[in-house]
Amino acid sequence: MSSVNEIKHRISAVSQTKKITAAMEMVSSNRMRKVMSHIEYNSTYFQYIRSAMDQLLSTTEEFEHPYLPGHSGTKRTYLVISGDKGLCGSYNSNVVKFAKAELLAHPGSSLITLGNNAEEFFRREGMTPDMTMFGIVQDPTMKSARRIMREIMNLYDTRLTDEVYVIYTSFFGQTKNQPVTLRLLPLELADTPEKTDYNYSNAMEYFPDARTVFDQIVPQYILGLMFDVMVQAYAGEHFARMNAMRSSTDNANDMLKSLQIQYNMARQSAITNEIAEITGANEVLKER
Amino acid sequence: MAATFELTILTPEREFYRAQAEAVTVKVHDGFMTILANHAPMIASVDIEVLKIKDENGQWREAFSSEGFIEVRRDGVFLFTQTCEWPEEIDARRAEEALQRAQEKLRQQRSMVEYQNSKMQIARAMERLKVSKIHK
Repeated sequence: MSSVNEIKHRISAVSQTKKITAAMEMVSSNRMRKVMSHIEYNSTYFQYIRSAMDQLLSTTEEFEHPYLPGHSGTKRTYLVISGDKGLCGSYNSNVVKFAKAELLAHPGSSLITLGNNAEEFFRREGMTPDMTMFGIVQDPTMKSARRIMREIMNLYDTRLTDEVYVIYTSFFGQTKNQPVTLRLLPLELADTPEKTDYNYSNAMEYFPDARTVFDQIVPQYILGLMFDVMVQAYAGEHFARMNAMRSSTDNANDMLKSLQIQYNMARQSAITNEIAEITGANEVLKER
Repeated sequence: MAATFELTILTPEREFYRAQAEAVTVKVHDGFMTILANHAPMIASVDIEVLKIKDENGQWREAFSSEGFIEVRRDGVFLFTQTCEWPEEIDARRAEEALQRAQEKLRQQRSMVEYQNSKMQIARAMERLKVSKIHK
């Protein structure tokens, strides 16, 4: 049996750790709640843009646009979003493993990583990312979404890539907390918008013309999508961290309980020992 | 009292405005356009601008708005922009700094992306300053 002091030391170490994990759990749950408020507005914004775009495509005559599906080339670019930090369960490893499988299935694709974890992982695997952006996953803002959107659209406009996909951890629906792939460009339209009978009450005037409006809507659409993805990944990371920290706090509690019992037993036996020694010594003294 | 319509201004981060309005003035590619009640359905792309809203009391209010588009429907007018701010929310000093930073970057002119970025930053900063000055 380990000595009383040793156990005492362990108890204090475990309770220190418990304090830290409990604090991290609180922080993560707060951050998650904060970012959730964006999700709501963004999704309404996004739905309106989506419906405006669908309407535009369904009411105007067919027009070709580089952002619409149906152009040649299969050079893919993957944008992988992971966390910057660890200590969040299998959040990072899930998304990078999923991304790796996807990249191996489509050799010759370019890779852009967001988040230190993904970058380090792909470097270790010998698949050096073509581009990395730092400090973005920590802080999902419109500003960083705009930065990513510009980079992506530039790559696409200069025809360095033909398709852009983003791999992130979903936070909603059936794929909750699972890595998913989403196509950013060319635009993924809900089927081909069915050509509704030309309805004059729904007729829209486009100013200056449909094409210019479409050019303006596409960046908005991608921006909305990008922001949504970033917010979801952020919320997912904190959700995973919250759970990981909660289970480690629980573990710490269990450990403390068993350590306390061990401590009591050790203390008890130490006392018993001491008493036995004293009475033994006493006996010897008496006999003299 | 003039006829009003429901005006909704949305950004990805918040619902900026949702109320009855008499008129709204936006900057389209060749000038300013004022939309009144009962306008024909239309979608127009709007530039970075000083947005003007005439609320139901006939009071003109001004706000900064970045690029986006406006949708006029039978059931209301919707404006979608990336960011939208009231004059009192704009930090003039920050906008001034951003302007200088962007101009400095523009001088260095590296790649096309950076060029476009700096151009947009300058436009945004200048409109922000305009709105905040009007207010003073």
